[in-house]
Amino acid sequence: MRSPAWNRRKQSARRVWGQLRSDRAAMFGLVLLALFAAMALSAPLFADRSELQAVAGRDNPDLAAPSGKFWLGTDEIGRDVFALVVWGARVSIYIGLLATVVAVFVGSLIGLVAGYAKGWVSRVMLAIDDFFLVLPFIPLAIVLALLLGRSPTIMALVIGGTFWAGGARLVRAQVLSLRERGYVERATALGASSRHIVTRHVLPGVAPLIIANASLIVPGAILAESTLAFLGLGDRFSPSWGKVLEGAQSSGALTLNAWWYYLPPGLCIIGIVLAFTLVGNALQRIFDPRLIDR
Amino acid sequence: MSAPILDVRDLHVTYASTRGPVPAVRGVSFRLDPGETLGLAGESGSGKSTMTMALLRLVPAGTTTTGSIILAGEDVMAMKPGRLRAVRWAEAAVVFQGAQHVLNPVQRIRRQIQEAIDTHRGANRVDDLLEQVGIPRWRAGAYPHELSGGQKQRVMIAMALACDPQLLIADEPTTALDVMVQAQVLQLLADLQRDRGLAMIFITHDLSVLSTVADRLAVMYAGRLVETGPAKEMLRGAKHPYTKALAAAFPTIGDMSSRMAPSGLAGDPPDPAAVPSGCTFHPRCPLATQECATTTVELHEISARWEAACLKL
Repeated sequence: MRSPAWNRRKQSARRVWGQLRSDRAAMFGLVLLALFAAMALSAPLFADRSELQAVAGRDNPDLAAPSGKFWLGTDEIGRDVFALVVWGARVSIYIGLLATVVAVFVGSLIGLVAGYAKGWVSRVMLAIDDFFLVLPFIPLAIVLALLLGRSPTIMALVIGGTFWAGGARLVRAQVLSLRERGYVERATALGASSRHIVTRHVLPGVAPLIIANASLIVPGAILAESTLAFLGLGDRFSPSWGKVLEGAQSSGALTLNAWWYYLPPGLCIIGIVLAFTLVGNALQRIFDPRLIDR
Repeated sequence: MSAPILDVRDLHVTYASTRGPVPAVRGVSFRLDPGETLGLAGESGSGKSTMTMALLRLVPAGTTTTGSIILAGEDVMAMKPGRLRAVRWAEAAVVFQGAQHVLNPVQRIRRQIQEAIDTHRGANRVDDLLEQVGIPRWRAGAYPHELSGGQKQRVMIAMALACDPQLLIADEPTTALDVMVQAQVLQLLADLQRDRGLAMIFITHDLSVLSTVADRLAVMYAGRLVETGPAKEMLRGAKHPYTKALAAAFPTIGDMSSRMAPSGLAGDPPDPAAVPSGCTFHPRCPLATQECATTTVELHEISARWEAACLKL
C-alpha cells in the first residue's frame, strides 16, 4: 500500500521537475534562489556575527568606500556592509518563509472552514476574511509590531497574520466546488465524519492550489518586511536588507553618493523577489493552469 | 408477518429555497419487509430521490423532514449524529446513479472500497467484494477512469455491500449504461439481493427495468405515492391513470401499433412549490372531472395489497 503511493508521488514530483526544467524563466529564478540560499547559509564564512554590533565597527572608518579590506565599504558606524548584506539574507529569507508558513496555514484553515461549514460559521469566517482583505497593511503592521516587539520572528508573525486573506479566498472557492462533488456525497452516505471527508477528499483537492499560492506569498512577504524595516521597524543589530536600506537612508548615504551602502541591499531585495515570483508563477502554471491569465 | 426492515409513515421533506419552502415529498407512507424489493417509479422531480435520501437524513442542511422512519427497529429521526453515521452504510447502503461522479477520480478503487470497510470496521475484503460483483481482483489497483461505465457501477455495488447492509437503496443505478450492460447490472443486483436476502428500494423512471427486479411497485407523483401494488400485476394492468400513462410511454419492441400511436403525457410535472389543488394530477389527467380539482385523495385499497390514490377507483 505504501510503496505504490510513494512511487506515484515520486512520479508526480518528476513531472513537476520536468515542467520546471523546460521553463527558462523558472530555471533562472531557481538558480538565483540557490545563490541567495548559499549566501544565507554561508554567512558565517564571510563575516563573524559580532561584526553586526556597533562596537565591532569602532576602529573602522565611517562610510568608507569599497576596498580590499571592506569589499562593500562600511556604514555610518563603521560596520562592514558586506557582512550586513550576507547576514541580512538570513533575516530577510527567514522572515519571508516563516511569514508564508503562517499565512498559508491560517489562510488554508479559514478557507477550508469557510468553504466546508455552512450557516453562521461560514459567514463569520467570511466576515473575518473580508475584514483582513480590506485592512490597510502598513499601519496595521506598524501598530502590531510596536505592541508585540521587533524581533525577526515577531515581524514574520505580524506579516503572516495579515497576509492570509487572499489565499483563504482561493481555498474557499475551490472547497465550495469540491464539497458538491458526487464522491463527497457518497462519503457522507458512507457514514464518514466531516473530518474524514475534509482530510480524505477535500484537502487533497485544494493542496496544489495551496502550494502554488504559497510560492507567490513569499516575495510579497519579503517585500512587506523590507517596507516595514525601511519605515523604521525591525532590529538594527540583526538587520534585514530593508533595515540596511533604512540605515543608508537615515545616514544620508544617498546624498553622500555612498552607493556601496544602498545599492547592494536594494539589488538583493529586487533579486530575491524576482526569483521567488518567477518560480511561483511557474509552479502556478503547473499546479493550477486556470490562474495563469489573471 | 415478520417485522419490516423499513417502516415509513407520513414522511414530509421540505427544501428551503430563496423563494420559500418547497415541499418535495408530501406525506409518503410505506413499509418494506426483509428480502423484498420495492420498485419506485416516477418522472424526474417527483421526489423519488429526495424521499430515499431522506431515509438516511442525507438531505441538504436547512431542509425540514417530518414523519417517522423506522429502520431495522430504530427511529432514524431520533438518532444522534454519531449513531446516524454508524447506521449509514452499515444498515442501509446506497448505489448512486452516475458512478463516474461518485468515485473519487484520483484514488484507486481498492482504497475507495476500503474506505467503506474502514468507516464501519467491516470484516469484508476488497478482493472478495470485487469478485462477487464480477470484477477480477487484479483490477483493484485501477483508477476509476480505467474502468468502463458498467465496471464502475459494479464497483459502486461492491462498495455498497462492504458493510453487509440489510437494505440497499439503488438510485437509478443503470441510467448512464447501455441496454446490454444495464441488463447485466440488473441481473447482478437481483442475484445479490436473492443470495443475501437484501431488502432493496430500486428507483427508476423506466418501468420496464422494474419487471426484472421488483416484487412490489410504488409510483410517485408530485411528492406523493399515487399507486402501489404487486409488480407483475401492476406492469400488466395499472389502475391509476398516471401509472397507465407512464407505462404507455414505453413502446413495445416489435409492436407497430404502439409506435404509431405514441401515448406520452401532455404537460410537465407540477412545480413542487405550487402544486395543484385536489388531486395533484388532475390538470394532466384524461379522466379528471370537476370533483378532482377540489377533493384531496389518499391511497386506498382497490384490491388485495394494491392501493391507488384516485377518485375514479
